[in-house]
Amino acid sequence: MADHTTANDTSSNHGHGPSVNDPHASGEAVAPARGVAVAADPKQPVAFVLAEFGTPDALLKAAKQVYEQGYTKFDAHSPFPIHGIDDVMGIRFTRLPWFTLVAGGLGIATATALIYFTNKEWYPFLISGKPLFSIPSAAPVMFELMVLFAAITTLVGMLLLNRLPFFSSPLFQSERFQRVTNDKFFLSIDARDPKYKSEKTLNFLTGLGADFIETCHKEVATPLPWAFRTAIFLGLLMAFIPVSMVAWKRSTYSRNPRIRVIFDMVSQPKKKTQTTSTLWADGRAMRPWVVGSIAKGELKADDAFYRGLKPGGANQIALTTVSFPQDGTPAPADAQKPADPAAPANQTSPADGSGPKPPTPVAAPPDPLDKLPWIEDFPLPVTSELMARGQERYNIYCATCHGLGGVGNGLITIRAMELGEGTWVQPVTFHSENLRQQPIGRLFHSISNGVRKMPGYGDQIPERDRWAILLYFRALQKSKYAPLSDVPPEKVNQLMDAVP
Amino acid sequence: MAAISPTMLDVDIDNTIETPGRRSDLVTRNSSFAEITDSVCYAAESPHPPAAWYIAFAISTSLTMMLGLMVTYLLFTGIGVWGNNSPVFWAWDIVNFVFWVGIGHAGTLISAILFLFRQNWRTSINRAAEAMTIFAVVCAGMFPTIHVGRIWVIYYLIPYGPNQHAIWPQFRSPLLWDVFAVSTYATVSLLFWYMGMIPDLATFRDRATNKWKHMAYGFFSLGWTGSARHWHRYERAYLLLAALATPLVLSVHTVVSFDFATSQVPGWHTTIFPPYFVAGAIFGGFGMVVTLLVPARALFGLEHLITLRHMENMNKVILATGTIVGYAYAMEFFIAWYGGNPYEQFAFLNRMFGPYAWAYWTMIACNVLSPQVFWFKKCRTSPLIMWIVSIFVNIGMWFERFVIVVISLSRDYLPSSWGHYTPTWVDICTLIGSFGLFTTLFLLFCRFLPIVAMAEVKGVVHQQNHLKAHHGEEHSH
Amino acid sequence: MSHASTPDQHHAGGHHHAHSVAEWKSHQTLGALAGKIWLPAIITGVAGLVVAMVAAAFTGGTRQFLFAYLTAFMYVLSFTLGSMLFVLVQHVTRAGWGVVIRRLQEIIASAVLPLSVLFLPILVSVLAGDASLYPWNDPKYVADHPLVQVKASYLNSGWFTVRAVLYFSIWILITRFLLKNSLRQDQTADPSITIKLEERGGPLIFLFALSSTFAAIDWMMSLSPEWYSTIFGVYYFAGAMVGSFALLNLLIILLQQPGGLLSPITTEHRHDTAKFLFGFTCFWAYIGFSQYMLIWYANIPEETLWFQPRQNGGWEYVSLVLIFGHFFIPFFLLLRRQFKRSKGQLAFVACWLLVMHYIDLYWLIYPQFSTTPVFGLVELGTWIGLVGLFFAALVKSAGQQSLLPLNDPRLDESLRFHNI
Repeated sequence: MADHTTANDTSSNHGHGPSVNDPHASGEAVAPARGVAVAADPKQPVAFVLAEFGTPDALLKAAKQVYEQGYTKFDAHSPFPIHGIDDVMGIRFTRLPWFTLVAGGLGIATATALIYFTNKEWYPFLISGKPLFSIPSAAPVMFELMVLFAAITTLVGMLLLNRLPFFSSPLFQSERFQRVTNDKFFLSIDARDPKYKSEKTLNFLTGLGADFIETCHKEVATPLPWAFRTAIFLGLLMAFIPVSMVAWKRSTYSRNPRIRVIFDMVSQPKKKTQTTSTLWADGRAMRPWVVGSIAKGELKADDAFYRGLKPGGANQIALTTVSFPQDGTPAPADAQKPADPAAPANQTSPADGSGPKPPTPVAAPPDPLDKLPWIEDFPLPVTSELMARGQERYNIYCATCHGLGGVGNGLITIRAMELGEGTWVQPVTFHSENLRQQPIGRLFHSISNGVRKMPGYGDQIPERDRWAILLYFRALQKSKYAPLSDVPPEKVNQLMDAVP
Repeated sequence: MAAISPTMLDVDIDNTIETPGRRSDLVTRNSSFAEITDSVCYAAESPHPPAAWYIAFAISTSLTMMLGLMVTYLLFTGIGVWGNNSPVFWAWDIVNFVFWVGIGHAGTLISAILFLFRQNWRTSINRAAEAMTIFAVVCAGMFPTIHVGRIWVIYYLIPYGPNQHAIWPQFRSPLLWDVFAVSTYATVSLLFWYMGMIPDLATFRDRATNKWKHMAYGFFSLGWTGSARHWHRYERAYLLLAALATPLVLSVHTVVSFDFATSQVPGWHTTIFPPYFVAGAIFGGFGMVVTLLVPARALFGLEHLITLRHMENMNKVILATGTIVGYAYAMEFFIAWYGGNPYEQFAFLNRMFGPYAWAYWTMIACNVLSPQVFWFKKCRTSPLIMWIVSIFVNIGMWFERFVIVVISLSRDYLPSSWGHYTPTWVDICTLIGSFGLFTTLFLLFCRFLPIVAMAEVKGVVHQQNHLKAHHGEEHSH
Repeated sequence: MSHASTPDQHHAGGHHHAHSVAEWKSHQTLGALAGKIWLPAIITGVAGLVVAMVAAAFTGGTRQFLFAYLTAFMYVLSFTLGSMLFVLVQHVTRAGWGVVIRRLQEIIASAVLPLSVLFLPILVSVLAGDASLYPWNDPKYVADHPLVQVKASYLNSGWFTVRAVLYFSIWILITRFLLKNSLRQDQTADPSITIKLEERGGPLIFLFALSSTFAAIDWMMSLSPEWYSTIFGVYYFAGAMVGSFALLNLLIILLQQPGGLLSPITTEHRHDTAKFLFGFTCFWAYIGFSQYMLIWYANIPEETLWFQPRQNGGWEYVSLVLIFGHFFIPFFLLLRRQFKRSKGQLAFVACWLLVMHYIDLYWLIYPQFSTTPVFGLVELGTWIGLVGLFFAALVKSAGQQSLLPLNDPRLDESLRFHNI
């Protein structure tokens, strides 16, 4: 190890055994040896003078003296931190904690912003009635990001303040210096130190009781091997590939299906609705019902309850539908088709709908529905609960257009009239003679399947509720024509009050 | 050289005995700095590690390969290959996740909390414990990741602007906290571990015998020269990281406990969960450290650095945290009765006498009863007994999570939706495989990295010598 | 790193400090100071309680007095409990640095004996069937509340009394054991006493944990008998540690004022006790947050009923005062190294936290009394009263013993202790 130094033989004896128990084992007793540089190129100028010590205490003492001599560019090197050396070397307390503090604050701010935007702005889910942004549930993330930012900054800040990583130093040319990470203690004085004078400094160090002294020369810069340089360059280049790929793909459109390495659930071996298939002659993926089949629970054999017809009427209704236009020919629009022929024309209101108008003499074709055997009575027991239910349902489903009193002045109608919506047909009043006479089964059919512009509500309102609505409908009709004697005596006053 | 003293002899003294007022040596055999370097580097520098290392490595890599197969099978087939099903949607994956995250806690406790408490005995074991932490977190992180099923679209979850992927990830889930807690924990543990290793990596660099090793260790030691100016900032940074890691380690298992305790599942929602989970995690983690270090110190001849006293201290921590866990079990139990909520009461009776009663009693036996042998010094200082108990602790802590997750989920409020969970062979092989991964990483660490923090131990030895010098001075006075 | 964290390398050589040890050992007793404190403390204490009683007669009556008294009692009790645990922990961990502060904590902990007498008003009121504090003592209330009926076998006056006696017996035994042995070592310098204390410490901590948890449940949690929280015992414990360390820091600084007394306790030790104060402030916040978070998040009516009154009727401001005053402000103050090492600044933050600790207990107990915060002569009087009596008890339990352990084998280590 010491073959190319002019080391005194005795020095190696001191070197062995880090005689920590005996601070005087090395140094002063024997005249310290003096080494020359191990540098590859001694012609280079001196960069450092290096003094080796056997114990931490010896280094501490020496460092103190060097500092007191006024050297500023010097350093002590040891395998482990030596307590108290900061003070004797005049090392100022590091600014690192401030870096950490600021980073911690930034972490909290980042977390707050992240939680705020994800929870409140971008994905505002309302969950168990909690506010969209709340401190308690954001606290864990705030805390974690504070720690994360602070910790990363602490490490990076420590390295930066220490000017690390620094892979080449003249110190590394010294073979002896390799033991600084093992059991030896070194003092280095930088040649750039204003106090540095080659002979004087060397003598000074000799006087400090070092085991060994040597000079490290500036190194000739050796460039990195070409393989490394190429690898680094290629690596950097390749780092741009994913980024540019993503940017490219995100800014362009493609008609090609996505490449699937693993089949996701989106590509299941099944046909979706409204798509084509070559499997069947009609080319449709969706299959029609098999003729004559009835789904479970869909039999609905009770004609009166489900269709408002006398028993057997269902067969006739099938015949009537035939007369409706089939696909291919456009369905006649309401405007041309004189409303429901069953209702006399004077009851329908055109778009302007300002009250009853003189009958329009249009010869209406007979309505096939007229011929059907509609029932006249409710197919279920009429109770006050049914009435209450009917009122509630009516107010939900019907009143928006027909109005609470059934005269065709619901909120939507009023608004449509105000806006002058040309396609809006004002609902007929319930209190016309025609509607008062119409069989209850026929009215049931109208609610279920719609009439004129009114859509069918069969899918939304169950049969029982439809009957309940009709019961209330009848009550509304009756209310307009009821004599005072029909009102229970205790309600009369109340009714009188309501009259303006 | 130093004066001859009985401790100079190359025999391990019993440092588990301490006379009050006179601190026992933390490093026996009166090691010199060079000797410490040599014995720690031996594991990495010897051309052939011990035969036991090869055997262990062969087994653990096979298990890791099995894990790889299991994960591949899972990803290509779907989560259905596991036993998770209604009502136990969280099953072994979350059990294993919590188990492994908990294991990690001991490392940070040793490196950060004991550091703040000036417990110098940590220096011999902190490196291995920190390494263990990172490997455990690797295993832990794997489970929730593969549980998402289609990990190739996991980036859907990244919020970069509103609704980029036309799906609505739920950022208000408590599981979000886990993502931040576990990833922060993994990162900070890694930084802490790496930073602690820089001086030791420099030792490896300076002793490297071939160019590649020199370059690799040289790169990672960042040009460290042991400069006093560097040490100054390094120590401050170390202290800061310790101060950050201490609340962090508490927060991680606290957040994990929030996953359960913010819900309303009987047996999950209880306010003591955060401290109880943390204590349990430290308990389990120390169990794992003992499990690993008992063979490792024997295998690599480090008995004079990782001494019986270190092991004894860890066993004391196991006893203390095990008892805290017992306290939490008792409190949960008492409050379940005191609270008067029949569902909560049922949850606890079901644990004890329900279909999974065997799991509950295994947990109690392993976690509460088995560490009680550590009241006796003989048990605390016997490597064999402590190793066996530490295995029990590992088993017990796994079962604790099983009890919490599976028993509570399988029977909650509505008896009509009760179910019974049984793991599939994929579940079992994945768990075993995760142990393989963990052991493989640890064995590689033992072979290629400094398993004892040399610089720190040297500092302790230096101070030990000073104390001795001080005592000598005082007695001669 | 490790070396920096150790008590070694302090520049004091053996020779030097052997001399100084003999110097301070002779006068570490309260001496005449005891007399000067005792009587005023007793007078203040009794006067405070009398004022409180008179004020209570004009305002809220017995009920208000009992609530104020309970709050003040739990306040002074927490100092003894916190100190008790810390002495035990020091023994179990063979701590060396804290030997010089240990005797003070032993003395504080020993005040639990006189405090047990001060618990009698509460106990007597419960035994007399008075339900103004604890609604579960009222049969009519229990009959109306099925959830309270469930735990009637636990919450009843007889069993309540038995448990209270048990808790105080445990605490008195622990503190007698600690102080007596410690004082004996002053005389004999026998290291085996240290070993004995180390060995018994573990089981005693266990007993301590159970007794203090259930005491907190019995005396404070059962004020709202339907409510429950498994972490409640830990919460009271965390507050007790903050309180006891604040008191310890304040006592050290106050006693050091006249000069000479407690001179071996240096900035280094105060720095450490301040760190513990800091640490437990964080711990308190952690436990408090955990409890709040879990109950807030799960939002179950039988649990939120406890936080409901604490977030309404003016209590929300008290809650905010706690969040900032009990955590954020002391946290940022104590974060700085210089702050922990400065006597004046540390004394300030200790006083601050002593006030905050009272507010914490007030916040725990008082919403059960009134839906809006009330603080007047009754509360102030009981507070001053019990603190006065507590100080008198401290002086009594200190006696004319040394305020520092004189012959602990680790005293030397503690004296040489040098902080990071």
